[in-house]
Amino acid sequence: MTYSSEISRRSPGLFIFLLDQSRSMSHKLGGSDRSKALEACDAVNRQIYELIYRCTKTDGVRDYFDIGIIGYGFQAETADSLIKDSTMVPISRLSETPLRMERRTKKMTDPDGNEIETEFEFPIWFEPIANSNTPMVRALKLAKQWVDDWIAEHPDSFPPVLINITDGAATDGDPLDVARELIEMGTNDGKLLLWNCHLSESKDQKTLIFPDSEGDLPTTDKFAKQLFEMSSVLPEPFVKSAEERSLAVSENSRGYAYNAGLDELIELLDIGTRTPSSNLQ
Amino acid sequence: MCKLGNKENEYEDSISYDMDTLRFAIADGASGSAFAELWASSLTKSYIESDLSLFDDPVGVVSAIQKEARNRWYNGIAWNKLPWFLKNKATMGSYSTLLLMEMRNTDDSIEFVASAVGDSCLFVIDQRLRVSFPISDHREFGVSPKLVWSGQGQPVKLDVKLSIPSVHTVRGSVYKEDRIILATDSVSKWLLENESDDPWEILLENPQELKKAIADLINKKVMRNDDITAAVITFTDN
Repeated sequence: MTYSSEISRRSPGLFIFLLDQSRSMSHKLGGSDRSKALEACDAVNRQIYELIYRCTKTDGVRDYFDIGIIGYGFQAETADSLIKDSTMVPISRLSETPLRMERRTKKMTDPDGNEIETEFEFPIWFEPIANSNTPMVRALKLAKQWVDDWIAEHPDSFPPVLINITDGAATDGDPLDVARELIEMGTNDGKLLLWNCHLSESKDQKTLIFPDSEGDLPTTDKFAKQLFEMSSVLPEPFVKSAEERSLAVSENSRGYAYNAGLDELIELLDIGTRTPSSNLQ
Repeated sequence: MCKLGNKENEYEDSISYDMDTLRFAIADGASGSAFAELWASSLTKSYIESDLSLFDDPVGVVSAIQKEARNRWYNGIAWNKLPWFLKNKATMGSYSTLLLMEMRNTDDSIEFVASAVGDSCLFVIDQRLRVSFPISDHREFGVSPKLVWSGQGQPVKLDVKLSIPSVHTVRGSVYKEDRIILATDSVSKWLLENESDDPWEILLENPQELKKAIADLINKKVMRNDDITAAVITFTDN
């Protein structure tokens, strides 16, 4: 059975987030008052926070996951790790090295049943950047190098999960070839998962999450089809997770959100990271 | 014993007992929460050190124990010294199963009462398995057992009313030939799955070699790799 490997300190999982930092990311995200860059950055910060939360035990943060973050477009024709001086790092390292802490509030229900608002410290690892063009091919090639190394060291681990967040077409060539190479990689537990989230500026356009047919995509948008082809088919455990959230999915659904607003971005990230977490031992 | 591959200090179960008052408590701290081992041990110790009797009010005792254990748990955590990730998680509270058992002598037998929240189990064995509580079918073991909650940590205040967990209770008699086993879920599930092969004999045969025997069962994937806690109670003429 695939996608069933126990995730433990001896056999960690890997998440790589690829973040488009091109100039157009400064435009507002559909349905939000904030820019695509800010919402995407905040969503990735929150996912890292959630992963650390799941790995936190009394003795500290256990290294059940390795994490990599690749930014592309923060400089022309450049893709690089957003973790200072490192590529992929054990998750405990991120718990120790936030860029800064923010005070945020959350609502809790106390044991008496009263709703209370409490402050808590929320870490920020990455700040939003929207600067240049979209060297997505470079970013995917860099991810491939990292994954190559990681798989050699973890041949039996849960396969790597790569989530690419972008708002436009690559400006450095056709990313399909390298995406196909990535999708064919994997461990003894299954093929690597490459998911793509395409962010939209308009809240009026049709949004698709986990589409199962190219026919659902607008024929006029070549980029929509390209990202569909670049996205992995959802394995069964991920289909189940999506079904539990009442999303319409099939065995042919792809890890892809098209014209995503904030809700779809969060949904895609959450299903992508929460499902492997159920294998935590 | 702790889960294979983990360190000894990562054990999150707890067992407490008092042979004078014939009281026993076992708890399985939920690994999804922080300070689960502190919560589990707070629960078992609070019962053993209390003067409350399950014979009087088996559900009320669990509720009272939960309140006392919250004091121990809450005051046992240095909230202001926690790093951000641990504070954010510990604030949401800790969870644990709980199984309490108390016995008392009567003229011709020994009476017992047990109360349970979750899937830590009590077994009474004569020639066969006579009592299996609160679970009697191995298919009932799941990943989300009922749990006793500590309530939230700081900034929520210590003195709060806690929600009462769903408590199961059993009463019965045991005899001096009987053997009693208290166990957390991994051992309990294995016992029920292999009931027809008298699996409890492995627990009784050679206590010195028990850890090795359990490790063998886990390595053969016959028993789930988890923290393991089991207590065997037998009676002597004294």
